[in-house]
Amino acid sequence: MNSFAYIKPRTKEEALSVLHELGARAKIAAGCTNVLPDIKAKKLADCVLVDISSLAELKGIKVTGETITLGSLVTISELLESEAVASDAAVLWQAAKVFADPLTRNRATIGGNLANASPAGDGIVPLMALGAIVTVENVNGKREIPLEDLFTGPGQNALKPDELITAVSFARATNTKSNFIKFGLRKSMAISLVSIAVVMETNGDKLDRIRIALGALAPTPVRAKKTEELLAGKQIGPEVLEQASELIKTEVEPITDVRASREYRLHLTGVLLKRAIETALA
Amino acid sequence: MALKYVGHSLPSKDAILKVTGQMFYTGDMQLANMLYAKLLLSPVAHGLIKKIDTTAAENMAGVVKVFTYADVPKVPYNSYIWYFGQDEPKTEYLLSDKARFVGDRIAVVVAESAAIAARAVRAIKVEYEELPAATNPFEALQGGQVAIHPGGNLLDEVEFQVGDPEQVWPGAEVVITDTITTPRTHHAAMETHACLAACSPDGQVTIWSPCQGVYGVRANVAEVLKLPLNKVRVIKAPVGGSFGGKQETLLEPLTAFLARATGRPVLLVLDRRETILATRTRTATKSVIKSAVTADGTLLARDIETVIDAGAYTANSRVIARAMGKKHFRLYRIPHMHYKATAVYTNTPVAGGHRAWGSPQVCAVTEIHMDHIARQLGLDPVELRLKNLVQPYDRDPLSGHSLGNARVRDCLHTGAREFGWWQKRERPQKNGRFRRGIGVACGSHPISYFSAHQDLTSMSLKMHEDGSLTLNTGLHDMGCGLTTALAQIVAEELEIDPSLINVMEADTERGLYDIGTYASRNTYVGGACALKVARKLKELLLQQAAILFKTTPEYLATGAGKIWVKGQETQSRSYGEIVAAAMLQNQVDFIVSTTHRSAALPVAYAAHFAEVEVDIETGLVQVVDFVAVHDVGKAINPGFVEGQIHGGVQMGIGYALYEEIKITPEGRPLNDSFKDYFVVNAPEMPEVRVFLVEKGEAGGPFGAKGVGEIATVPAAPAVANAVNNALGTNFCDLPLTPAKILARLKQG
Amino acid sequence: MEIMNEVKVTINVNGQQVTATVAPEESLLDFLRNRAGATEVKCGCNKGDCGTCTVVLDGQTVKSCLVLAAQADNKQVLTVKGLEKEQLMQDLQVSFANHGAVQCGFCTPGMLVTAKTFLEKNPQPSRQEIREALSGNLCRCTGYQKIVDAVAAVAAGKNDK
Ligand SMILES: Cc1cc2nc3c(=O)[nH]c(=O)nc-3n(C[C@H](O)[C@H](O)[C@H](O)COP(=O)(O)OP(=O)(O)OC[C@H]3O[C@@H](n4cnc5c(N)ncnc54)[C@H](O)[C@@H]3O)c2cc1C
Ligand code: FES
Ligand code: FES
Repeated sequence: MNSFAYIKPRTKEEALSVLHELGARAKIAAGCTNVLPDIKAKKLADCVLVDISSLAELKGIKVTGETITLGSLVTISELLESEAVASDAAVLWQAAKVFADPLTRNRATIGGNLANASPAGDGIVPLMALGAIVTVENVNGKREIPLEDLFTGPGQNALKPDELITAVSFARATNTKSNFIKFGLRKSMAISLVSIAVVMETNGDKLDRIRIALGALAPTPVRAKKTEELLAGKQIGPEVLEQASELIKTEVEPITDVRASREYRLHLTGVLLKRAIETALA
Repeated sequence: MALKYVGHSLPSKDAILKVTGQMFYTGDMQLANMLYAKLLLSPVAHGLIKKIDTTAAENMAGVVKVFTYADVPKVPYNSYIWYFGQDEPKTEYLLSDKARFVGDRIAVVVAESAAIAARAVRAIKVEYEELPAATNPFEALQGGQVAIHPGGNLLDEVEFQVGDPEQVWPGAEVVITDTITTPRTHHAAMETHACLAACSPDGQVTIWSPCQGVYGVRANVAEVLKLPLNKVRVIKAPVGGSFGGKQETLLEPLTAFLARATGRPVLLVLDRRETILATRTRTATKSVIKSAVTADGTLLARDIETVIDAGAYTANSRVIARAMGKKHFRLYRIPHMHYKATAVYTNTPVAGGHRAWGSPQVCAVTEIHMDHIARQLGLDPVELRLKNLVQPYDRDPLSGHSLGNARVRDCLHTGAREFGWWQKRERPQKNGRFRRGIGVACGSHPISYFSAHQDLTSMSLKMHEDGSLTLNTGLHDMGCGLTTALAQIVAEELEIDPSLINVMEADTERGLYDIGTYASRNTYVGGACALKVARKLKELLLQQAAILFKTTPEYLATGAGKIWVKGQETQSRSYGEIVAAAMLQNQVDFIVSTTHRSAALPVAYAAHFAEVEVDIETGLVQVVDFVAVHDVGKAINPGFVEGQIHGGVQMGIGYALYEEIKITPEGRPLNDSFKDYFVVNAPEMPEVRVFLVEKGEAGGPFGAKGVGEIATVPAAPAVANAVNNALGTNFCDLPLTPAKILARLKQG
Repeated sequence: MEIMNEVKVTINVNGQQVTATVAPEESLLDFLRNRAGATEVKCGCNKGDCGTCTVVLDGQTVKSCLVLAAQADNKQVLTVKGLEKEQLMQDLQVSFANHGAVQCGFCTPGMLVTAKTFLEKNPQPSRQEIREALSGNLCRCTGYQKIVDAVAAVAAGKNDK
């Protein structure tokens, strides 16, 4: 008697057809840093573990022209070791630096982070600020989903049961200023109470465009679009920042949980927005 | 004469086993035919068990049997009992017939593998009739309808008094009151709880347990299983950390019962969640403390009323209420003092001993309050303490016993100097986001059981024919280096290398008696016993050597493991040669034994200094500097002492800033894993600067006192005081989480 | 490729091929402890939060409770015992023992594995870098200070205290 089964496709194609056949019974297993704790916590049972961890097609970081593409199996450690990420996606690199701890980073994949759809996902937030697009495949073909549209609720994503995230890509953010702040109760090995990523295009001391993504402040990671609009085209000074940090609180819906209260998270949002922008500009 | 081994930081004797992964902890042990047990814990905080259906579980392949309360002896016991005949209220059973907290033991599966046992536990169906739960003591005291035990929820009340504080309050210049709360915390030893039991055909049951007192375990197991004491053999297994968490008899009676019931060895290993919920926690307290002081800061009277959350069963709460009371009287000279404690049952995880048995709670209460007094009077916190601290050889006003060579003032002086207290005090506060603050706290903790309980320990020391030795004890090395320290003491006395000495730990069958590794008493009491038994062996050696050398002992000299007739060093004979020769010629065995009982109740003291940086926009606190000064009498192994202090400070910083097992008003635990129960990790720890005051304690081996528990006592209030100093606040509720800090700052 | 209710896996543990049929959800940690007899790999939480189960899997330092045994099929695992053949690990072991970096010892095998692979990548770390490298390995006994001392001493090439 056992509620789990296991299958290890050898190619992406095989994986897609397995997913197709199994439908909702399939549970994709990548780095398993979520899957195994979920099994232990009995949040997961009665499924076929589809082990994609050795699929070469899903590995590697590619830079093509102005686009960086991360295979869904790219680990957080690989992001940290990538020069392309460090220079052209600094916000993601900074997030990787504070993701979990060095050991977990060796296993945790970016695809797993996206699919896991945690409101606090530290891979999701910077990618959202980079305007990333997620490539999803099933036996019928490929579709691209803007990362912002991937999530439907805490732990819920818009993937169909037979779909596999194969990659996530974004434009190289070469001429931008960016910053990622993770606020947790300790420096490492802490789940974000609030996280924020900002990516900005500036012109002298004017801010042309900014993308702001927030973690742990709503049922899913979110963009703060009203605040982005408010800041776009502005000269950044204390007054504007003050305004923005008030406005941003209206764009989120944090909850109270064991880690922090709603009020505290709201407060942090304003504080971290200011800090993130100031640090990015500094 | 310079000491050769004592006072030196020798590596721990078992370190080599540990770094090579060859130390076998209980969960690593394997016996032929062994079965695996797994507990079913209650998911409800309070409820009657209407029905338990174990059929599905029992029908699973590989399941040997499922036990519920109906299948186990109906013998109540108290897991805290640590010596035979100790009389404490008995409210626990092997398995409960009523759920009293989330984590109560409802059933246990025994199966051929751990995986099967885990699966079978999930197949047990229990129907509960839920009852209203009382999850804090104040509610529990009012709640007529929530009776956790038949006698009601009030477990005990106790009062102590010296002088007459009532008479002081009316005329006092200044009276200051604080309400101070301390959280329920998890010991967080990296090894979870585990026990292995096996029985032999003659009915003897053998238990391997990472425990702190084999004789306490034996007493409880024998009582519950109705066995003669010599049919219960308890062997202390390597301990992967305890800090008091493994001090009570938690798994042993049940595991022993299962081994007898199945006739096969049974291993029970708890997981982390079970260890957090279903073992013991640090007692949560809420205290109102009131002090009368003169304007210049002299303490005149003090009153403390503490409410102790016992959790769902009695365990040690009645006793810790008393112990905490006594601990209030040993730090400051206060002529009039009153203490009252009320211990209350609640539908929460059971409280028990946790490193320093109430002292961290007591210290948080008095030391946070002392800083409040200092602020109110405009005095420097160090000055205020110096005005009131005890002096060496003061008498404990409650018991009348001497506090021993109480060097807390030296600790405070040294610490203030090394920390740069005065310079840091004068530094202007920074404006802006980060605020710096400094804090100090003094603490005390006794290091024996003298006058409170029996305080016995016995040892035997055997010298073999080649001069190597075996020291047999009843002690338990928790990883602190005790066995090495004992070898250093014996080595020093016999002038031989410590590597020649094997030290055996507790085993009720093969070892000697000791009341248990509690109360930081091992160095002071155990070390003294080791010294005594070494002296006795030396006497025997000299006496036998005298026969061999055809002289009398006064004419003999010793050194470097050899004996010779004074003036004839070239004709010396090694201890081994003497032993071998005397065994042959004189028919003597070189084994001596002795029993030691402490004759005093000295107290270990410390002063901790912390510097913090508080981010006032987020409330996050970082400890940036830490000085710990300890009155250790004499460090037998300074490296071990530092190690204890580093670990104690880490635990104290956690107590001050992060750690709390959170339980909802309905009794549901919110953080039952390390994901949300934060143990301080390496990047959060400041470099801790340790200084030792070594002024000797009569009665201690080479003047040593204990340090294991005092190490953590003043750390948390030092940090809390630093936060209060940084922010000008009077935080009194640990832990000082960022959210709490921010909420207070927002109030202005 | 087929759906399996049990998975036959062969893992090279410290140079020994160990083959066993495991449940799909069995972790590498359980495999190592129960099937390969590698009890030097400890279990402090089973959920990825403590690092006592740290091993090297095909060159990567990982928490073995976060890896499926099936995922380690045909791979090589080195525990503290397997790494002992290397001088760097021996140096660390001696340094841990001499610096008092070991108390109860339960975190030690995992700490050593983390420290070793870290020093290979970063042979001249600062104390803060060492602390960060060890952030996934909890220790309740030592306050980490002597562990940092021990690692720093090896990095500095002076081992004996
Ligand atoms: C100790 C510890 C610390 C952690 N700290 C952090 C942290 O700081 N920040 C953070 O964000 N997370 C953290 N996590 C969570 C986890 O590590 C991350 O979410 C990680 O990125 C998940 O990746 P994985 O490869 O391990 O996913 P898995 O566990 O393999 O899978 C996660 C989920 O995604 C699905 N999935 C995986 N790959 C795909 C794919 N290609 N297509 C479709 N679905 C897929 C799986 O079915 C599963 O539902 C931590 C976890 C642990 C144990
Ligand atoms: S047992 Fe694997 S991290 Fe704790
Ligand atoms: S030495 Fe005990 S947990 Fe590290």
